[in-house]
Amino acid sequence: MSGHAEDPVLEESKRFFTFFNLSMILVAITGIEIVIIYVETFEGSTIIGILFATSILKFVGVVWWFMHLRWDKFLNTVLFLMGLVIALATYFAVIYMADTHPVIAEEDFSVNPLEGKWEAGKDYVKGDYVLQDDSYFEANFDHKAPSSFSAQVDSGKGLSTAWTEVDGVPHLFKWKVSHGDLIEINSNDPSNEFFHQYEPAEKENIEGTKIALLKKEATKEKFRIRIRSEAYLTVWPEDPNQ
Amino acid sequence: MATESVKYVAPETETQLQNQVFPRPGQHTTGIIDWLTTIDHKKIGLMYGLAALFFLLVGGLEALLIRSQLWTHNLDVLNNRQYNQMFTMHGTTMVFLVIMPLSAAFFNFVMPLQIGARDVAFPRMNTLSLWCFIAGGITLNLSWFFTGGSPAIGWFGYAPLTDNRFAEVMNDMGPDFWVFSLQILGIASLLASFNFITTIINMRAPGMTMMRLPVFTWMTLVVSFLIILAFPAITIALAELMFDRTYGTNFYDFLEGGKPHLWQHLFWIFGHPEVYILILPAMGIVSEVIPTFSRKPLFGYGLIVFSGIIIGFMGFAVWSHHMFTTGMGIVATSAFSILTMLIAIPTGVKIFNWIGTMWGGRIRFETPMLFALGFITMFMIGGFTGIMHSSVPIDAQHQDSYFVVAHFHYVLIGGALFGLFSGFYFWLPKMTGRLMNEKIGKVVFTLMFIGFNVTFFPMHYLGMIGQPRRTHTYNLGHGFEAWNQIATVGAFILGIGIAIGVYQFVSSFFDKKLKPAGKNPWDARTLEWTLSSPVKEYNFARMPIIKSRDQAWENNYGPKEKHSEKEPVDDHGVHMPDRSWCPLVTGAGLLTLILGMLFHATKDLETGVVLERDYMIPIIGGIVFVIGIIMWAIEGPGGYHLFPKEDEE
Amino acid sequence: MSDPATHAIEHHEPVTSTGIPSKKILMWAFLGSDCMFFGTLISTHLIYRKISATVGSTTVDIRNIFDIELTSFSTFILLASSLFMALAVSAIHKGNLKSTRWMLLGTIIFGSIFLACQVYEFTHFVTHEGHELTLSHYQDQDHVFGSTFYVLTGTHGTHVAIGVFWLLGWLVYSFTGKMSTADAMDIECCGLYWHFVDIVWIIIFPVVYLMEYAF
Repeated sequence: MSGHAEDPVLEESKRFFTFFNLSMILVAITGIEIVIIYVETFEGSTIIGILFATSILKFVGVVWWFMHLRWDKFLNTVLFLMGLVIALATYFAVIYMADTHPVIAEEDFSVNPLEGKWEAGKDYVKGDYVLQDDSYFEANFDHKAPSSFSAQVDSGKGLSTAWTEVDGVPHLFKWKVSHGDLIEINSNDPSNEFFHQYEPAEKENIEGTKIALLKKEATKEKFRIRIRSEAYLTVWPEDPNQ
Repeated sequence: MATESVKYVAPETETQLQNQVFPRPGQHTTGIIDWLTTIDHKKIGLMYGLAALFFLLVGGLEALLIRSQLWTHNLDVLNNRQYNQMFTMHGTTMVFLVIMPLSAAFFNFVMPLQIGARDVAFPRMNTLSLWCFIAGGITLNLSWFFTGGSPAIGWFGYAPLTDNRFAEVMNDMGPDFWVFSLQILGIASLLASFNFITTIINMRAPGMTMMRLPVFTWMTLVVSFLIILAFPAITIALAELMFDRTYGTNFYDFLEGGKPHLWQHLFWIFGHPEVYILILPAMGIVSEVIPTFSRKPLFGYGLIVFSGIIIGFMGFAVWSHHMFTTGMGIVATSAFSILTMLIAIPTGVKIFNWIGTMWGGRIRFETPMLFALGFITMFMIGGFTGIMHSSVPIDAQHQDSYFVVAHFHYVLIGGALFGLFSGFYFWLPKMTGRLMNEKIGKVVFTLMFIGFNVTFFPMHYLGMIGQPRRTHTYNLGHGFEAWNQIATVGAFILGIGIAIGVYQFVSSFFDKKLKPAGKNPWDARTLEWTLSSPVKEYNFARMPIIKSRDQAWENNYGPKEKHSEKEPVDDHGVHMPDRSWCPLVTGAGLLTLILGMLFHATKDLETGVVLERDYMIPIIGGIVFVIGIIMWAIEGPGGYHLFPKEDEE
Repeated sequence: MSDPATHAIEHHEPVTSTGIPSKKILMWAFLGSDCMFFGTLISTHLIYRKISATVGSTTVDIRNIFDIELTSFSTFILLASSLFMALAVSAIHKGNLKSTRWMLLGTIIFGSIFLACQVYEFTHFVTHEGHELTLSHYQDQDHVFGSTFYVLTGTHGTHVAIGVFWLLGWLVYSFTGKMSTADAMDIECCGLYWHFVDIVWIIIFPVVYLMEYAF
């Protein structure tokens, strides 16, 4: 009838224990799921991962044993899998496409020349920029500023000049993006190049800053910020063709 | 179709008629009760076909009204709401009440004959499926008579236009009729498909392996799988819409957090497989006709079957190409664009194989072949424009223009309808026992071919110069008038051709002056052509034992070891399932339930607020439905025996 | 050979091309189709669960009305009913009518308890002081969570109710004296349906209820 020949009574009696054990296992797994929810030490995504795994275990348990697929002809499994696979694939795609566009408000992106003037007594790190007498200088090594700008400072290897004049204008970039997994800022002015790309550690409510040296002064209109999120690639300022 | 040649048996084996609430109709039932209670797949197929041909004329009338309105600029044949109603009803009717039931008619009649079965796996469920289809057709067309008239929302019913909030007419019931009729039509399709899958997998004659099945049967199988996997999506989408309209949920209401975009996804997850459901049966028919009229076996049988399966499977992966302009984002649009381009490959393979079949064959140009050739050429044109759409930037130009209208009518009329008409001309002699008039058939083909191309080819151009779809009129100065007039003339020519064809089909059942067809008038190849025309009630007097593909051909022309054999005569006689009232009762219960739900609420005429809900009629319908099912379970399949003469088929 | 009674029994096992009874194939095809059905509902719920009408505001915290103890209890109940169902199918294959009856009864009782819990839960949610969840509102704010929650779990509950009704039919039939091992395939199909309803709940429980506590 359903493929088992010899002694149906014996077959079925053996299965009694399988069924009973399986239900105990299912109950235990459900218990674990509930405990995991109550214990609050796990992170959100870990809990979801565990729930996902336990659900699959229970699902397979019921379908393979209770629903007899293990003992029946393979065609039955094929019929069921067709529906299951297509449902999973289709709906993963739909949920994925339910992603929203990353949002940057007008005021969340700013590009400004650095204004920090040199100050005596301040600790500077190598690569810091300062404005002194209308020119920009870059720090050569970590040091604490003495009372005079041009005084020689101990670099650890002897006395030397702390500051080198730079040709160009350092700018401070600041941005705030709703969500994304790859951020890129580049200049759309070929005479004033800039390119910065990184993967933010936090995927939501991303805030970032960067200080970079540009050839000349620029305002934010000369730059483009591109954000990649799960389903979208957004560009600011908005590309009217997208 | 009467069983004139059957030997009658002693009364003990006749169906027991007493002791039942609904006495079960016995084996000698005739007349209208026979047709109402039949479970015979052949009769069911005929009823499907007749109803579908009726709806073809209804949908055609709706189309002619549309074309009349577009004759020239600023006409008033239809106002804008009526125009919207017309294209909604035309689309819904043609898709759900014509093409799908015509395909079902052929699946029902021909498939069991092709696999060597006496009926489908679940005969009563087959009948229920028919009555659900009839109920759906009735429900949809009842909409003309109630508040708001027919739905004016397009055959795809995009949210949020379908929300009560945007009703043009207060308490517009059109969309409600649309929702409920589609639900019951969905039930009809699902029931039929489960039946066909089980039948093809489980009820083949001995020796009929899967790779010996005719391509038409394979397409039946693929289409049935598509239906059972695609319809659930629209069932839920429609249910969610019903909840929104009737109970105030927020599934598609953007002001309350819903996403109208979700409707589009769910609709097209169904909608795209649906268009493959519409075209694959016609492809199956053409795969039978071309080898017959080329007197050559089908080229690359395995590839054609495999391509059909791939098309079906991939059909689930391309739905968002209907949504390229909705702002889904680069990743999604690119993915769907590529997948859509890929799906052209198996389609192309089929076309090459059909051409390969004809190559070197001895081609006869009778009417079925003319329609099959028309299918190949017209479907190719539709396919080319389809590939054009698959490119996203180009689609941005095409979207909502007449170019799309041209595309889908090329694949649906040039493709599906031509294929189905080919099937009619091919198989009606088997069903009626009479050959139809070949001259009239060729006239029908000529009118349809010319009319169709004159109507729809100019629409490619009209779309490119900017005529939008679904717009009830256009102003002077765009240059639309001339080609619209040509298209309208073409539409009337097409209409005349179709009308003559339909008349020819229906009258062939009654016209005694037509020549008898005999078993195999076309010298065709598959199993059904070994049977008499019309086919006897029991299909096969003795079960055939199949030895090869194209069994009829091999029996006539092949070597002896490939000839089919027959199972030994069974003293029991041939077991036939009993007729039953239960499917009709169950179907009537469902129809009552649906109509009850449509009218259960009393609403304020001014504000649309629901004043009172009365579920009495739906409950009665539900009870009748349940009673029908219980009686169904209790009565069992029943059965009686027939004893065909030794040499009879 | 010629009397109708023996005819009925002899015709009972028609030959099939695959050796699998047609009803079983029908049921598995139906369950494959039902996966798409519930897939649509579940994905609708997942897409909507965080959205409320006022975009940008903090989303409403549904945990205020969920009663995980009750829902866990009903989950265990449904799992137990699945065990009873498997045992019922086993019993009828063995021809043990009495055992079949008891197992069917067990499945029905546990299935009904599950339904009762659902009904209690729904009425509780709708009338919960200060945190009413209805089809279109949550705490008087337009919200979509109620729509998806009730339609999803309601559809599942309807499936359970149909199953209970079907099982009741079998239970009644078992007292008519006509039940035999010939009916084993029909009961097995009923069992397949019941187990499917269980595995849908196995998905719904974490995805709808437990997930709200995690994410």
